[in-house]
Amino acid sequence: MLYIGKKRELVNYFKNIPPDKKQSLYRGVRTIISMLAKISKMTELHSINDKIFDELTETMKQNLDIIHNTLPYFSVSTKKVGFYYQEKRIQLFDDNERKFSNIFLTNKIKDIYFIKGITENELRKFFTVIKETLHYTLLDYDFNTKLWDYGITYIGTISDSDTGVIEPWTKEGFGSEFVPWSPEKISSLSSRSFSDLPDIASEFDNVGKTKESSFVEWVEKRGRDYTVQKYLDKATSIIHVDPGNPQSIKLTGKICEYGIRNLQDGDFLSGVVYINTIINMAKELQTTNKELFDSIKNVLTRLTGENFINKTFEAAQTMDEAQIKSFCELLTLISTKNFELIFLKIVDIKSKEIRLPALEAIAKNFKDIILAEKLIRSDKWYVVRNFVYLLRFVYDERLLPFVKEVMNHEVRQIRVEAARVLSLYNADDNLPYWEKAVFSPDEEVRLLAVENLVKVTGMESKPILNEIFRPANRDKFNLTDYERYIDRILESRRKEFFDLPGSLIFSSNKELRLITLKCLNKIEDPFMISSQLIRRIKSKDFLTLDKNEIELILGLVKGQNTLDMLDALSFVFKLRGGFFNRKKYYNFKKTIFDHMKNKSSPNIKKWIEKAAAEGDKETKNIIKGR
Amino acid sequence: MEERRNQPGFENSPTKWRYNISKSFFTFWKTVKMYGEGNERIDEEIAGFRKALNFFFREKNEVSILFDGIDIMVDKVRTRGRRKDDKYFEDIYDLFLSLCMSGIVFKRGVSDQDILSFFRVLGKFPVGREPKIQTYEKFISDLPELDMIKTFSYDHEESGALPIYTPAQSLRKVYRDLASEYLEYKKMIEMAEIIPLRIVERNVQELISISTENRSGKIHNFILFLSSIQSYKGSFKGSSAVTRTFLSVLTALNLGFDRMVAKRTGVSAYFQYLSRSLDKGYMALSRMDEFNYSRIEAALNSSFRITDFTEEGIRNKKCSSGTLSGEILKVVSYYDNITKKWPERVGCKGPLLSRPEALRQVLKNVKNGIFKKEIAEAFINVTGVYPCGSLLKTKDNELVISGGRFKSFSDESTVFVLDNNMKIREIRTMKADSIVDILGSAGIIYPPELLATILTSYIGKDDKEKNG
Repeated sequence: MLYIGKKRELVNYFKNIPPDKKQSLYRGVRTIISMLAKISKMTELHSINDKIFDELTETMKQNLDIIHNTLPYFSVSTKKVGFYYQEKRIQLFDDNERKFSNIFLTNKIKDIYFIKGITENELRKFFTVIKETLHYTLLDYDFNTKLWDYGITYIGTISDSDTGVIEPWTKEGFGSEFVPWSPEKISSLSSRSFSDLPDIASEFDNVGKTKESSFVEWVEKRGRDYTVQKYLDKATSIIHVDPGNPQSIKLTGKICEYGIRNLQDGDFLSGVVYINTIINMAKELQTTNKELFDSIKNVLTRLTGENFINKTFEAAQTMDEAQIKSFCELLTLISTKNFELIFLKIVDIKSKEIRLPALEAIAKNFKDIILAEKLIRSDKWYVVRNFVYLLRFVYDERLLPFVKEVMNHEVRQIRVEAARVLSLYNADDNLPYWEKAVFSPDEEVRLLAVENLVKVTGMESKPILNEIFRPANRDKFNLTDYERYIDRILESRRKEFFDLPGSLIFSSNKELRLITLKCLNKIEDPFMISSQLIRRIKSKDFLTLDKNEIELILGLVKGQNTLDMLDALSFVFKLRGGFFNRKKYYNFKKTIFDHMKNKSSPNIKKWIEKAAAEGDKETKNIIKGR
Repeated sequence: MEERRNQPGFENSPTKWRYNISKSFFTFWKTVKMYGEGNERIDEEIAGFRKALNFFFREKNEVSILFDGIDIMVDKVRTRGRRKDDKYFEDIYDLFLSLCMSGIVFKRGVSDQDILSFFRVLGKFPVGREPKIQTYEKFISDLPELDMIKTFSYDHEESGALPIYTPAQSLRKVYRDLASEYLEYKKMIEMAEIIPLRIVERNVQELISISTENRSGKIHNFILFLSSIQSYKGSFKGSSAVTRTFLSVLTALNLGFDRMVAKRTGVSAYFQYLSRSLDKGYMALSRMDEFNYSRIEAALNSSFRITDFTEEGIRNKKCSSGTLSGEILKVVSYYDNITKKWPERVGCKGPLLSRPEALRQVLKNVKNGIFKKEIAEAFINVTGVYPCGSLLKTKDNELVISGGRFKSFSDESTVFVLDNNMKIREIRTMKADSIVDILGSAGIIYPPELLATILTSYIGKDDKEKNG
């Protein structure tokens, strides 16, 4: 809602536009008002989140843009007999006109104006204002108050309260039962001494110059939910004093209605605060006041009814991130009954950010095996998928057969989701499934299979894992797969499996060797593959490896391996080429010594010293950096 | 189920009498229409209508029945049929529409003869016709000269001819609306009636819009000067409600709170002393049909009393609801109370302080841990070191009234220089270090004409402007 100074500017601007130019917009303006009359009717039939308003918003915006391309501002007068533009009646031929124009009459609105710059978002908010004002027309609700609350500035009104005849201040307004002080009395008053001023001024020196963080925190804690909680605390204390009092009964009714209305309007944050209070009140009143308890119970029953659920989910479609937690809390509360409807409503929520936590929230209330069977066999794949996702949070052995039933579902997401759920259960019991899953077409499922195989208590899974690393099966996996599998094996700390990735450092595939070494470098102490590493160092291939691969192997000189690996590496002290190619291993040696010189381990330092003492001239020069 | 308005204990309920006068208006008109004036029932009708009028004349000089095209408003309050017996409202609407009439006002002193004359003419006109201004003109020409009954037509061709207020004029209207209606609201609360909360909300919104969007220091000063007014139309409480509203909104904005928090604060401030009875205030603001946070927060703050916010009160009592508005109001209400002289009936006995001295006391209470430092300092930032309305003296011994915000003792602002007759001699800009406080001026009552002149100076030019 524009502030009054701006309204004056715009109205004066519009007055000075040549009448011809203004009148040329008549048809466009009539279209806008006709649309608004229709929209007002629509708001009574549909939720404001309904798709129908998407199209209406878009069309309305286009129509407004056409007018605003000619003039950046126009206003329509609202009179008892209808709408007028430039003193010309806007004939709407619409039954809805009367009800729509009543909004303006009730609120004493004389003109409604539209300014260039209206966004679709603002139009949508404007439709909400129309809906709310229409809904509350009989209750004397105020259109202008709503426009301000919704922060709508490009659409506004000129109302009775904005205009009027000038009524100057007069002395009659300020007389009171006290006799004004006489000039003599006032003149006789003595003032403070000017010499006091510096001291007084110093008291105000730092006013407003600091804002402590504790204050910011204090303010943050006093949001709307705090106010609502305080309000309810006070209300319940009033009710508690005398629950039988008619005022208490009325107040209880109001609290219940507020709670429900908040939720249905999409204000879950405070709505849940209300509902929790109502539940606590019910507990207290159960023994002290049967009548009040029954009325609260009726309200709580309404929360699980279809009508309430439908409205709540409509409101949830547009909620912001801050509301999600409370929305989920509400779902936990109400999904004890009517679970299926709530579940299906959640499935319809487009936003993953809302849908997934909502499924998690209701999961704890899921106990119905018959419903599980129905949902898992639904012909709608997304229902199955969301249901299987929900099962992630329900640990119930009775549900396992249903999970296994969809392990080979035609929809990939369902197969993956099912594998995730199966992962929650004992890996030993599901070994046959994981054995097959290792070669699943789904990357995620294969990874889950490895994760579960390393959890199997005995050594039964080792041959299965071994299969993965067999050269014959290499084509079935990509390098990323291998990297992940190696990581999972190493993360499992099952040292009895470490030789599986260890063997890959001898692979003929260089990329695979490098990935393996990178993974091995992540573990703190690679002693379980010590013998493979030493064998690698002592192999002829070692002398021919690229610098980066050598460095990755040297990175494994740590932990319990250190001394054995250093010992194995000592052959480089005096390594040199033949008579015609003395410097054949210079680069190889330089790679090793340069890398080792940067290590801080005392054993490695000693090894370098030994090399400097015992090594050949080339070694000594490399160490000295020549 | 029997309507509450007919239950015992509601004899003095304005709602009941609004319905009574509506019904009496209808039956009187119908009786005259059907039986003419020479009928014994006419005496009964006059007596009934007179009784209803007298209820309103106890406190008012006139009572109006207005029609806005949808409903009638009796004594400015929308009045609708709510039960089967109330179907006569439809006939009243038809009557007003057919005559193209927008309202009737009965003035105190209207005689029974005048009333009968009026209804006699009213009864002659058929209803259910297309509204035509000529019908109204005919009706007026048939009416005898009636000084105590006035009627108004509506001109369906015309609207919005009146000029739009300037920000300063709008502020004046906000002040008048809020200050004038306060006592009405309190009465309605005591009668367990529904108060038009939206009027308060709308005015607070307007105040916030003007405060945040108008960059003129003069407007800020005007708000501050309005906040210093002791009483308006004889009402100290109404004036105090506006002071609290204005100062708490400005403080909330100064603290950087968003406009919705400022609105909650303003509405809470207005209703802070709504009812001594916790239940009544709470119930009045817990309006099921118009749920919003402003009212919820206002309900939390609605059962305090002026006497809670004395020096002793703030030390010993829990003077805050704990909400943001509650903590702001603790400072604002304390300042309001210790700087104004209250009538004995209010029961406020604390010592009075001059406005600048009250600010020092606010700072002392920050040190004592009574006020939140940031809130108290934001409040002082709003008022400035010599708050508007303070009586001060210059180095040349001139008496001046602070008319603007002195941000610090080295800052300058507007003062109204007084002559020996307490009239404004000059409006001047002065530095704060060239004026000092007069401690003995605490609770000063300025002459009403002086206040009217000062307030006019903030909007004088606007009032002369012809913007129609």
